[in-house]
Amino acid sequence: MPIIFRLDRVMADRKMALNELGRRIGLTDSNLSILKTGKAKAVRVATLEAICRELRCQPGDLMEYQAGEPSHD
Amino acid sequence: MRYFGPKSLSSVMAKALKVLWVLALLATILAPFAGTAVIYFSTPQGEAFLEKVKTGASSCIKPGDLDGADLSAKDKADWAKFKAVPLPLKLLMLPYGMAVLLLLLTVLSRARRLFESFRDDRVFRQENVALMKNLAKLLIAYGVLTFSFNTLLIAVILLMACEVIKNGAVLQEEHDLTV
Repeated sequence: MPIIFRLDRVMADRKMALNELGRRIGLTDSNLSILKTGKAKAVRVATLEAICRELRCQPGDLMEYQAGEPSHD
Repeated sequence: MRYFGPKSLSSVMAKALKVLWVLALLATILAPFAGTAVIYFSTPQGEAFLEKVKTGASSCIKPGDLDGADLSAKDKADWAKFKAVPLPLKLLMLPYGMAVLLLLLTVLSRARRLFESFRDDRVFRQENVALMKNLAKLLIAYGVLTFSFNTLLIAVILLMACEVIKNGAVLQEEHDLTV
């Protein structure tokens, strides 16, 4: 998938565990894991806003575009 | 009334179909024996054997016990009609009957799996689409074999419902993978 989430990198920089981030933004570990492993098909703006607020980062810090195989829907 | 999930109509249907499946399985196992016996007793040799039993050749049964006084006039007429059918045709009835029973068994099994999926709140899934399509094809075959227009109609409606569930499955997957 061309859009890759670098959530683990930003979480490591902020020294925050997945379950703590999930607790702060109101998401379960499994949902965050979907995002972290690149299986997510869509991200709500509200979720992106909550992650950026807790990790004190910009949306661009979390996502990276890599040209390659497009995702088939 | 709840249709999906635990303690819903789907749960009741899953249990009912399980019971029906067991009954159909028993019928399928017993049918060859019962069918063979009926065909045999409709032949002259079978009738002779029945007569021997009636006239007390067996020490356990007294004469007159099996006079058939319990058979109604309609039953006697139906039995006479069945006896008049040629033997090759009678022998064809056995595989036809077994085919109908085996199809019924498969239909009940697929339907039970579908309702079990609905009971577990897994409605919009690709595996259910495949199950429904399979079930519809089996119902078409069953409808053709038993000359039942109602069954054919239900099969067509089921095929259409398949498309709805298919679209639902796509939306469900998108919803499940939206964070």
